[in-house]
Amino acid sequence: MADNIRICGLNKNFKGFTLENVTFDVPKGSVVGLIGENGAGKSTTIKSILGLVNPSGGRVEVFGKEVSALMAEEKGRIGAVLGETCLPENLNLKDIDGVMKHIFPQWDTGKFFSFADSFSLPRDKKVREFSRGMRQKVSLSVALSHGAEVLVLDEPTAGLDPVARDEILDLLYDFMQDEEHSILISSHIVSDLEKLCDYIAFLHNGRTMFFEEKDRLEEKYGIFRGTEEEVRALGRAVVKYTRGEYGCSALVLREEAPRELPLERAGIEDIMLYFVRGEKLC
Amino acid sequence: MLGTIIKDFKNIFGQFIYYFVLMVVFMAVSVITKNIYYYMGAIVFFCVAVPLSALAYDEKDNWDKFALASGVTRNQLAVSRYLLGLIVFLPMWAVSFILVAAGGMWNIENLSVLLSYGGIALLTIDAILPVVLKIGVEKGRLVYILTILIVIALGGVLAFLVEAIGGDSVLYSSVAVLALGIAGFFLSIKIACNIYRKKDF
Repeated sequence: MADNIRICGLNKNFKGFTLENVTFDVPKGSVVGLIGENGAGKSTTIKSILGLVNPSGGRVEVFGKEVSALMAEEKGRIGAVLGETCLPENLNLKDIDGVMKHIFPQWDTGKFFSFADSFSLPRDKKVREFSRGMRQKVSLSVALSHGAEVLVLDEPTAGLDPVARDEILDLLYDFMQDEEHSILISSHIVSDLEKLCDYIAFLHNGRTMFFEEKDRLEEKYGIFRGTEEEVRALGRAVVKYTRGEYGCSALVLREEAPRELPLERAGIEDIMLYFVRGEKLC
Repeated sequence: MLGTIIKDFKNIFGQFIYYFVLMVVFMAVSVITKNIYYYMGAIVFFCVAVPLSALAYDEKDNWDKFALASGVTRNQLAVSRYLLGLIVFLPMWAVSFILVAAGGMWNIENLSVLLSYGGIALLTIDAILPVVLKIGVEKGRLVYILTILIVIALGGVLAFLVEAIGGDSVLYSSVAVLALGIAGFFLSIKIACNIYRKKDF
């Protein structure tokens, strides 16, 4: 399967933070969820894909081309929703349409207002008067109205109520009906990612901890609860473990663990928490 | 780039009436007192005030991030700030020639003032925009105010020179100031493009 986005050994040095050797792909026809705690490097990775930061090293390719070499038409095939609204808040939707038709070569006014109407966004009201949820919907309406084949979404559902989040997820499902399309989405709302994603890329302290198929993660990891001695007895099957008031729990590699060992399902959030907060067996 | 400039005009549309009324007042004062310096000083003020207003909106809205992610290049973003300055400056400067001719003030001294202030306006854009693009509008406002004070002082010096020397030599000096402003304009754009090229958004 060809990749819409390829990130290979991405490095970026900031004062006090380094993104180091980040590597993952976003294949055509798939949704990749980018997870990690605050400051893990998710936004910097997304900004590198969109050409907003200059990487210190490594390669970021979109549609098989280095990001810095993309032409305006090719950039127009990427729909972006950044953490903040990033749209002129002094303008209303009609004004935004007037601006966007001169920004994107493939801008579709009909589509934009159709999304806006489906979200019940008033056309004459200035964006600054919108709620956070409405602003996110405007951003998404823009991202979906210029012939994008790849969506790069940084926290698109942050701060939204479950109904609004569900509406946005429905739109993303519709977008993925085309097998050439892809989505890279970062979010702290792991339940959204579990519904939507085919792959998960996990960043921690600026490094890729893993990049795996979501279903494979469930096959690969399980959670074991028991005493510290029982956890220690599992040896190299234990990836990370935590000590609690009533014993220990461990993220365990199913393949390495004894077949008869009772293991609970490990969700994406569990896996992330064990990787970040868990201890390694000495 | 056209989209960025259209966005700027839509963003600052509400301020146009305020700018327009001020311009008419300065024009009227210049005609009544037969002193073109008032209007020329206003040109210098406005040709920087408008791009700065647009930049302030952009900073608040994170527009640069959106534009770059959408296919606008770093160079186009930098150049669009200068184009906005020119779009404000050129018509106002053209009006100053009409004003001098229609107001019965056409002489070599006033022509020198028109040319000199054209150069000063461009030099002001040349000096302020790269600084603001580097350090941001809030911090850049201080530089803006300082530059305007320097321009006012230069205006005083210019008025004295025109009165004291007069004639062709002042005209030649004015042409030199204008040429300096035009050359500086291209140099300043180059500096601004370099600032944008290295910037992380």
